[in-house]
Order: sequence, then C-alpha cells, then structure tokens
Amino acid sequence: MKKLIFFLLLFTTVAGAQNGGTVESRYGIGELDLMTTSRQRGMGSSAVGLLSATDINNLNPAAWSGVNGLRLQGGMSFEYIAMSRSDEAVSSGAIKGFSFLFPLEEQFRLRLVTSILPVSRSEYYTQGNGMLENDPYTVTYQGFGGLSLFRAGVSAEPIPHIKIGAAFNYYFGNIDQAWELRFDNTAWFPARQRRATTHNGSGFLFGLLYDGIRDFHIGASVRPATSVRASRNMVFEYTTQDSTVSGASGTLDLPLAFSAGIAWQASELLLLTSEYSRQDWTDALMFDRKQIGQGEAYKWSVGAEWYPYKNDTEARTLSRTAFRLGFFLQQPYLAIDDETGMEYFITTGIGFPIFGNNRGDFALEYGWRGSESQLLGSQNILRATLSVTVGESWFIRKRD
Amino acid sequence: MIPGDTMNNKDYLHVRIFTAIAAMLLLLTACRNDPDPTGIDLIPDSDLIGAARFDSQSDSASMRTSQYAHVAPHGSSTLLSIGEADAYNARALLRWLLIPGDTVAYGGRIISAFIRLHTVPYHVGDISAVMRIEAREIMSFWNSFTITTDSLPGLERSTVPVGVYEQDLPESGSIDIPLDSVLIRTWLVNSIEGRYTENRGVLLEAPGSAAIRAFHSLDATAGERPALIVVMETSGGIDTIRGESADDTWLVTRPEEQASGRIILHSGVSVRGRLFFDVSAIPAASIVNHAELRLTKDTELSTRYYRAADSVLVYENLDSTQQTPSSSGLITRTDSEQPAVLITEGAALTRAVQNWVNRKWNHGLILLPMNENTDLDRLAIFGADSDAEKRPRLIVTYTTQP
Repeated sequence: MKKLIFFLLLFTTVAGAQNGGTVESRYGIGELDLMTTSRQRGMGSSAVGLLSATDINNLNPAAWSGVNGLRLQGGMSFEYIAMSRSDEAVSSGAIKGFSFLFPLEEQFRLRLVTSILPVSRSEYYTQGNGMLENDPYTVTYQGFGGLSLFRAGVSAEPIPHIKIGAAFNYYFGNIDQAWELRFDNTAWFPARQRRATTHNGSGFLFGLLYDGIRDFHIGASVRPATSVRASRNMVFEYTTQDSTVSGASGTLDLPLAFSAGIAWQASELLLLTSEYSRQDWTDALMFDRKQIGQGEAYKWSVGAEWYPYKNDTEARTLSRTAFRLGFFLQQPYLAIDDETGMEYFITTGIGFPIFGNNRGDFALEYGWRGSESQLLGSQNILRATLSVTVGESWFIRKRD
Repeated sequence: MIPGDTMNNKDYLHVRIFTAIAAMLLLLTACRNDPDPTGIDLIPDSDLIGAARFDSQSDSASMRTSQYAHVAPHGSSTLLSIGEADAYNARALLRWLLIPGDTVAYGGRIISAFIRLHTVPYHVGDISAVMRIEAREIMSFWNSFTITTDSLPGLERSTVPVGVYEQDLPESGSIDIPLDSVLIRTWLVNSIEGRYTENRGVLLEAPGSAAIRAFHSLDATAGERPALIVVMETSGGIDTIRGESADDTWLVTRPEEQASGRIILHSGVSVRGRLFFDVSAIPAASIVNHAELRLTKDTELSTRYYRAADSVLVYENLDSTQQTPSSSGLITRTDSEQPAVLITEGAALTRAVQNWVNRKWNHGLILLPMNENTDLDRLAIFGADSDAEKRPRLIVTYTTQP
C-alpha cells in the first residue's frame, strides 16, 4: 500500500509539479528541464553516452536496452537561487517525473518504456508598485505551469553492440500568467486578469548507442522539430461576477534538439563521460510570431563515476556505491535584451543500493550565472536531486 | 524470494536515510516564496499593466441629464398630506370597510362621527394658518396600491362635502374631522349586510388653503393612525365604535418644474432624474476598480419643507425606455469640504460602470429623491448644461490590459 501511495504521488504531481523560478521563465515556454536523472546530474548532466543496468535514460532511448529487468524510476529536486539584486532567494521543489521499463525480449534486448516527464517550467512571482494621483497600488505578476510529456517508446539491439531506440512524445501542459492590481485602499476592487495557454501535440525522440569499441560507449539522440497546438484564453474578473474570455489558437514550435556523447570506462572502477547538446530557439514561432528573448541553447559537460569499493566483497553495500563528479556549462535558450547568461555548474553525487537491486541516487549541483550588469544581477544556484529506481522486488509482496 | 533480496542493517539504514531525504524534498515541492520586486524590469512591456483614470470632467466626455415624471401609488406612505401651497395640491383618501355594530346600525342614534388624524410638523406654507379641510364621499372604487394622480379625474366623489374641519392645526396633536351621520349609517348598514366594498370612504382636501399639512397614515405606530370614531346611543347606553379594515393613501399634483441646466427631483409628485455618461474612452473590457459619482446641489432651487434630506438615491438604469432602476442602489453622502457636493461610490455603481465598459449596455443612472413616497420636497442638481465644475462628474479608476 505504501508503495502504491508513493507511486500515485509521483504520478499525480509530476505533470503540475513545476514550481519555483525567476522572472526569466516568463519567456518562451519557461526554463527547460535537462531531463537527466540524478546519476547523470552527478556527472555533469551527461546522459547520452551512458549505459546502465538500472538507470532509465531520459535523453537517449537506445540506452534502455542496457537495463536489466523490469524497473520503475522516479525523481525529485530542490533548487535554491540567490540573486545579488534581491534580498530574498528563490527556492523551489519539483517532481522530476517517473519512468517505467518493461523488458519484452532478451535476445535483441527489446525494451518498452513509458514515462511522464517535465519539459519546462514557468514560475515567477514578482511585484511592482505604482501611484495613480494620490492612490498607491501594487501590481503582482505571476506565472506558473509548464510543459510535460508522456512518452512511450521501444529500444532494441538488432545487431550486437548497436542499440537503437525510438519514442513517441505527447506534449501537454498549461502555462498561465496572472496579473493582479490591488490598491492600498482595500475598499476598491482589485483587478485580476489571467492568461492561460494550453498546449498539446506530439513529437519523437530517436537514439543510437554503440559500444563496439572496447571500453567506449558512443551515443547520440535527436528530437526532431515539431509544432504543438496552443490555445490561449484571457480571463478578466469583474465585480459583475461574470468574466470575459477572449481566445486565440495557434502553434508553438519546439526546435530540433541534438545530443552526442561518449563514455569511457577508464578502469574497472572509473567511468568518464563527456557530452554536447544543442537546440536553436532563435526562429521558433509561437502563435505565428517570433518570440522575444529566445536564442540558441547549447551544453557541454564532462563527468566521472567511481566505484572505489567495487572489489571489496566484504562490504556488500559499499561495493555497489558510486561517487560522482562533473562539470557543465550551459547557454540557456533565453536571451533577454540580447543578454545571454552562461551557466556554470559543478556537480557531485552518490549512488547506492537501497535493497536488492533497487538503487537510489543523489546529486548536488552548485552553479553560477549572470553578472552585475544584468537585470537579475549575478545568481548562485544550489540544486539537489534525488532519483529512485526500483526493480522487480519492488513489486513482490513480502511474506508474513 | 529473489536471491540477494535480503536486507541487512546497513540496508535498513540506507532506506531510512533515503526516506528522510525523499520526505524532505517532497515537502519542499510545495515551497513558494512571497512576491519579490526583483526581476520586475524583466517583465516585457507588453505584459505591464497599471491603473488609469477616467474623469468625465477633464476628459470632456459626452454626458446627458434629464428628468421625468414617475407616477406611482403612495399606498405604503407613512404620511398623508392635505392642502394647497406652492402649486402643490395634496389630497388624502381614507376608507373603513368594516364598522362593527351588529344591530346598532338599525336602532341606534348616532351622536357624533369623526375622523381623527394626528398631525406631523412637516408642512408647506404657514404652519399656523387656519385650514378648511373638506371631506367628500368617494363613490367609485379605489385601491391604495393602484390609484395614482392619473386616476384622480376618474374618481367619483360627492359635490357637497360630507364633513368640514375649519380651525388652525396643532403642530403636533390631533384633529377630529366630523362626518355626516347619514353617511356613517350607510357604512354601518353596508358593513353589517356584508357589502364592505361599497364603503368607499372619503377624500380629504383643503382647496385654497395656502398651506399643506402632514398627518400620520395607517402605516404609522398604533396610537397615531387615522381613526374613524362613531359615538352612538343605544338601549344600553352610549357606545363608541371604531372603524376597522382601513385603507389610505394620498395624491399630490404639481406642474412639472423645469429649470435650465438643472435636474429637479421631486418627492411626492414625483420627478426623478436621469444621467448618462459616455465611457467609450475607457478601453472595452477593462476592469473597473472604483467608480465615484459627484453631484452638485443648487440650494437656491431646492426646498426644505419636510425632511429635506441632503441625499439622493442612485440606481443603474436597466431600461432607458421603461426607466427601470436596478434592484440595489446607493445613497449619496455630503462632501465634508464642499457641503453642496453629493458623492456616491460603492459596489452598485462600480458594477453599473463595469457593464458600460464591457459594452453590455449603457442606459445611465436614475436619481431618486429621498422619501419619494412620503415627503414634499425638491432637490435641484446642476445638470449637463451647467458650468464644468458643477455638472455631474463620473470618476472611474480602471486597470489597463496587458
């Protein structure tokens, strides 16, 4: 029962659990999720070239064929952002989705995966003040929501050492923007307006992973450009108890995303990885208009995973505990006022068995971005991520 | 059991640690910060909103004012007014359907019969003047909730008075208007024989009186209501009986008074006002935060006969052809710094303006005089054709749209 409740909690909260962020998430579809697991985050958010027997890869479907047995995986994160221009920091938590892998066949390593994952989040909460003659007022700007996806895909190893994967993504989600103008004179009616944009559409993800070179894994994934439907409603709340809704329909472009990575098993205990990914939002249209504040996004990362006690047969748990370290730099797709803010992150993490073949992974990231010349000033970011992957034993009831 | 699935103490420790971290992060997913001004400059210009103001005075908005007669019954009035003064002609109607007396009607001698009215200090003209109040028998059907001044020409009444009171009236006290005993006996017989509706009562008027006096009506407190009192001598002695199942109302006529550039609200008669503001300068569908209406009184053309309330009732007009006021209105208050200025604000006015801004309809506002049913007073307000600083002024605060 506890497992079922936990499962349901993950399922019901992931689609709407994008919360927390800065005003920058007002633009585009918000802050994009890296869609990496805690294991991958610990290694500089490298993912595409990694193969794992337990970790369900969200960026390269070809890697699913490396997973042994039935698995369920979920994660959550907490983020803390301190801005030099603000006395208060922004903190947020989010459910990072869950995935389910079902092994169909072993000869060709055929795997079936379904996932529900966050794609982006738009969450900001800021306010300004104004004065109308002698009447002061406060205006609050708020955004919430984001895009999520439901995924269903398969992977296989049709030829030894060559794994391929493909997945269908169904995108959905609401991004809301709300305004509230409230006079200090509380007898006056506050003005509340809300714009809700609903998205739905589909796309694909393809992946390839080659491990024919001794100690090397080379991976690549591509998410072709697609357009999702978007419909927008504007609601005004009046004293007359009714509200006006005006709407528009259009499409939202999701540009092509490409990633390529390599992993090198340097020794029995040490794995090194590196990755490059890119997605150009410069010409992406929303409601047939080019969006302000969008540019080219890219990421370059390096990481390492180390099992120092792997050969220690006396320490069963410790022998399966991994330590991770990584670094990545990232250019987000948001370029407000033509100012791009490169992000730099140092990452670390640990992976450990929980019981049986279930594993937990914890990653800690410290990053910085921006500069004093920018509107938000410089920002320091602390991020903690936890993933859990459970195997077949999770689904077997204990005998009394 | 799956091999290797046994858990030792270290595994349990891992589970506990993991559960604690998971629980902490899960709780923190509900975190939300208070709004912070940081980043407000990042909001794109197209998303910025603010408050704006529409002022009919400074925006030179189109405005219209007018007045109209509102003919209505006064069946629920707490006062009855009788007399002629200042071009007003006020009359009261009373009747008693039932006069208990069983066999007294046939055999008793009516010693006296009179209508007792209790005075109220409200008046038009000289309160101390001697008034000649005449009672005339009404000979056609009337109902206090339907009869209006328009019905007066069709109301049949006796040409000869059936009772006359000619004395000065106390400022507060009572007067007894004597009635013809023949009429009273007719009412007695009708009452006993079940022909109640044929007791149609009397009309009280004071032609040429140069004064109008007010009296309590049947809606007043028990001791001050009009009463029909009949003193009879029977075989058993002197008996006093009172009329029951009474009905009363009052009617007043006055030529409508027009004054250039003014709206003159009349209670009693009554005359109401209309205001119309063109708010098309406010972007359609904007959210109205607050609306305020300011009216300026013309004290020279206003009267203070009765209660002379320095207030006006303001309603949204729902139908400009029928002049239908909304169900909820607002009462004006006096500006503390400018006593001649009446101000009204509140949810009812805000909603009315919101309907106009939303382009649902705009039939303007209706102004009602206070105590419209009971009093005789005039309140003059500067209209649309007056000087700019005196004409009605509508101030609307609204929020711009992103």
